[in-house]
Amino acid sequence: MRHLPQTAALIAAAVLLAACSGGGSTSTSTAPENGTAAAGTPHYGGTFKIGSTSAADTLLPIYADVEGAGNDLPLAYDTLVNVDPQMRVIPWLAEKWDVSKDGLTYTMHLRHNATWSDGQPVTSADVMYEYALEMDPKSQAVYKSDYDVIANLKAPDKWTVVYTLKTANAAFLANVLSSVQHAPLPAHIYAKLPHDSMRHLDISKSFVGDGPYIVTEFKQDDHMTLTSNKTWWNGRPYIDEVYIKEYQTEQAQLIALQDGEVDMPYILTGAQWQGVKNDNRFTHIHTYANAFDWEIPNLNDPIMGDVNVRRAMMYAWDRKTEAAKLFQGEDIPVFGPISLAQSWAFDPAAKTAFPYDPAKAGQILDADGWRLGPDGVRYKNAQPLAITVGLISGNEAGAKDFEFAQAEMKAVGIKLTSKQSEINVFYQNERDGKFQLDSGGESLSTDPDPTLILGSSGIPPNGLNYARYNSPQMDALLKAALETTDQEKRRALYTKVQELAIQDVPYLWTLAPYYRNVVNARVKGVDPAQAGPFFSYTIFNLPKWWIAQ
Amino acid sequence: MAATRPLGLESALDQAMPPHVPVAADVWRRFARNKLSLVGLGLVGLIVFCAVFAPHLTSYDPLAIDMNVLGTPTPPSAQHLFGTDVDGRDYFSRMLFGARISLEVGFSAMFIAITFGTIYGAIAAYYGGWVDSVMMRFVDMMLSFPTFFLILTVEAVTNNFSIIVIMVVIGMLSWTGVSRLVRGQILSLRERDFVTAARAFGAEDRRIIFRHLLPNALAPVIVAATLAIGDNILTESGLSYLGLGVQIPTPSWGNSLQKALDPEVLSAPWLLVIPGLLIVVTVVAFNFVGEGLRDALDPKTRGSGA
Amino acid sequence: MSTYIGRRLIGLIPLLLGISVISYAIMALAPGGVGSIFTHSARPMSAADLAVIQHQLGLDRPWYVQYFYWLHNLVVNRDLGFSFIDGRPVMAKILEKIPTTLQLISISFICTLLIAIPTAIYAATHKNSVVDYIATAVAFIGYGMPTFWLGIMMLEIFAVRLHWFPASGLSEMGSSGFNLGDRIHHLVLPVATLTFVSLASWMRYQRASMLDVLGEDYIRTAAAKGLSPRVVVYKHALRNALLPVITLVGLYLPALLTGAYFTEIVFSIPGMGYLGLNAIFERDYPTIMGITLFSAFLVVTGNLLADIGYAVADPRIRYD
Repeated sequence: MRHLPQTAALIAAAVLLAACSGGGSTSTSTAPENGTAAAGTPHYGGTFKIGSTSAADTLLPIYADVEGAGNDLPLAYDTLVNVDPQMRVIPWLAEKWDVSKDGLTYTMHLRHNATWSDGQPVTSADVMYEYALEMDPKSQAVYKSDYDVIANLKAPDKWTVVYTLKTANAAFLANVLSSVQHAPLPAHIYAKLPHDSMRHLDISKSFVGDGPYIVTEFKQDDHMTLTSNKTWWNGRPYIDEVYIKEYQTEQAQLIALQDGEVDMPYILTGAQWQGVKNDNRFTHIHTYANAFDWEIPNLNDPIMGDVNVRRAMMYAWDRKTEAAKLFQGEDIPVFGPISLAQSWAFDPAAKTAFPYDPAKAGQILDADGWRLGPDGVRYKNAQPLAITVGLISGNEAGAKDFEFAQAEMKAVGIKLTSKQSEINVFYQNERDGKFQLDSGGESLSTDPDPTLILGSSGIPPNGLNYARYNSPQMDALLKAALETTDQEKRRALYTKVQELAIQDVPYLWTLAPYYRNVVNARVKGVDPAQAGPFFSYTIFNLPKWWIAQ
Repeated sequence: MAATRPLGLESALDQAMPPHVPVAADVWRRFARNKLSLVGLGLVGLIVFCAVFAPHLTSYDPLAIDMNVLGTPTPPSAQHLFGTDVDGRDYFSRMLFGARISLEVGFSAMFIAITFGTIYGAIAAYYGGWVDSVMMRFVDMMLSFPTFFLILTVEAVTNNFSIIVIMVVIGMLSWTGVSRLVRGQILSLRERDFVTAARAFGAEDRRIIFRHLLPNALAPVIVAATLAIGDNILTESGLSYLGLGVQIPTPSWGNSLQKALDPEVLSAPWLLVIPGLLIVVTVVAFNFVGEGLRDALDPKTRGSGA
Repeated sequence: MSTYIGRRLIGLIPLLLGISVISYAIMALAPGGVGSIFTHSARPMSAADLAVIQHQLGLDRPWYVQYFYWLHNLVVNRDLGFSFIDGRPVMAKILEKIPTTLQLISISFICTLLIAIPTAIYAATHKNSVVDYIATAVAFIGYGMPTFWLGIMMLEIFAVRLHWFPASGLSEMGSSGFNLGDRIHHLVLPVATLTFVSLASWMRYQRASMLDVLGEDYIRTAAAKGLSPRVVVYKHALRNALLPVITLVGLYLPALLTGAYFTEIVFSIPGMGYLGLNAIFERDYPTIMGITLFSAFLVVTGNLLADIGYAVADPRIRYD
């Protein structure tokens, strides 16, 4: 079920999966390597079955929003550049590109051998059409604002497009051009249609795509069938058919997986992973997820605005025990805005920041004037140190996390109470700043740039900086890191970002999850070391997989 | 008009009435004839006892996390009668306190629904005509409401997902049935001689409704109230399944069920089975009592040897 | 009688109008409005983009204006509009799901009657017998179960552990075309779930109705005249006892619908329940309104049938 609240923890992930299509990093495969690359020889044929609780609702990528379309549609549409499972930007429809010295101009050279499934070549006209379509408000494209960084787009010839940016942006290729939401569309078919009719267009009966698979049947809320693109420029995929089945509960999906009815889900929760991690009927995927769990403080709140309270909470929180016991060792304590999956930018200091030290937490609070009262709660100026934690109603993981934190904070004199809200209400309250401390999880985009959550420009309504963290020092670091394309320089700057985050505690980052998944061992060629930090990164290699005979 | 009426008439009228309430001993005799009702009454007594004395029946705090068993549910044992849940909390204690919450929700929502539904139904039936039509069409509308938004709107108004909100919402969802029932009863009573007589003597509308009509319609309302408690407990569990019931960490049977759907917990089936069985037993018990009361209070079956 | 029915049918129009206006108001006034989920993602929809879309959908107008446009579209174009989420016509989305839900409801309903009525007649004619007690107890146990819990227990026992029946869906995965055996195999668990929770109401109602009739003078007279008990029960009593039960059909529809929605979700059957729940969590107003209207229509026509049923069953009730 897409939005049943108990799956709310996953929704955050699904939301972000939809928004990024790209690669992963350090693949720490701990699983037995069943049915991996060496087994047998590749051959054509068979059906690969994917189980999902949030499959695509649309077949036009410009509308691929919160639903599973972000996971499914990359199979059917190619983007100008792609991101491999190691999260590196690689040539795709554009076989090469030039970036001007000032970082403002991207000249993309399209390959000549890519075709739409009706045989027409993929050309600059398709790129231009997609851009014009998205920029027209009448089309109601969901991620139109991604194109805000672009000053203009030109097509000097059939095989070249030139993007001119407003400001240098190192994340442009990884976050914008690799997104399936911005994949070229077949202009020769759609250009004659009015833009405001695109939203209601039913293309399921006459689908035209340019990806490794072509949609041949689509029944909303039930299934989608894709057939391999025999003339795909990157070589005909081995598996002939991909069948994506939608289940309404995680439970049904897990049963189908265990019964061999489907070969692979989008993702497994930690709890689901426990049920299949020792099952040798599967090839196991276990890598760092491009995500983290955190508590979002509202810095405009008098209590949460006190950096010492935030620091004390971090010291009082035994995240190691929580990860080991409550989440079965399936999480790693990490404090910082950059995920383990974004390995080139990740600073190991994030793993050691804020070790469990309740005594230190007590000292910090004492020094800050929060004195222990007779009821075991601390007071300052007769105001109790009581914090209301916002949770998404019915979200099990959030509830577990809260119940653990509540006990931990009580020990140092901080009183936590919970307030549950329905998921839409929860996010609306975050946007409106009507909360004290919100519990949640966040998935990240391919490029590590954290401006959206740490930059003052990301303060709502413009971004995801729900903490309302406003630091000129941070803004300067983020801007500098985005304006250079030199990865070494960026890494150094992100180390400084990390240091500043530890000092300011703009968010209470707690744990980093793994991306866990399994593939039925009848599917061959699956190399766990080649798995990315989410589904869309992992199925990058799907065209090279085959079904055992 | 009422003030000018001689006082004696009023009591004379009252004495001319049929008895409002059957004799208690009579009711008990008929109630006890049905074995299932007695079983139901015994179970209800036991559940209410457990809920009321919950803190005295267990030494475990339902919210206390045992770090030693955190993360892995332990099966029922001598130490933990119902085992522990995934957070390492004593499940027996959680079920005891859950009984409290579930019964509180069941009873309170019932009182809200009965009070409002009875008054509403009585007014509609007494006045009849267009008043009745309009009021009953509104009941029809209530039955087709998008329940979910009702809950959210109430949540927004109170800015909370508290247990009181849950009670009010469930009450708001179930008063319509009561109002129909009371209306039906009163419609059939309205034209009876004693009411006509009261009206002829110039009794006030309010007095006729509350003094003469309602008491005579009371029996089916008592039955409906008993059945409603069980229904409300079921409704709460359904809301919990959608994540909209009583919220953690407060234990209710409904949210314990929902929590037990976590795949890691499905390997611990008792966490799913126990609260489910408790709900079933409780609802069935209230229904048995309700059935017994129906037989005992309903004038139709009274004295027929049934 | 026919004028009564005609008047009631006309009365449905203000009723459905009232339901739709109140539903729209509650929906539009509820917190967490359209677009909340869209704005929470790695690269969220910007405030400006959201504003543009909300303007195009008319969501920047007061709710009563929105409602008026919705109603205008419904009355003039007989159209329920487009889904906010996927842009598809709401009518198409609903028509796609109705057969699934109606199939589940009708099959369960027939199963319920086939079990409940014979059992109830036996129980009524053998009052306080062992069978009466057992039937009552079993029926109430079914009644006391949360529908989703019963479904999950069925699923865990008969699908996961015993592998007797499939766990989800309505047909074998990837199969094309309709296969009756396969469909029945898939329907066993959901239908059993929905039937079991419905049994008690019907059984108790039928039993009580039968007892009432058996107590009537004319039945006693018939029995006293020396007619065989079989003839008395089946020829005279049953016919009269069934009539009031028919009226329960209308009143029971809302509960049946709710139960079906829960059952669909537990067994992953893509019907109205799933569509409605998703629409609600996604704040897809046109789809929510479509489903509300559909449910409301079923409920009000059910009530109407119940009232007509009363009129037919009991000539003493006058409608004028």
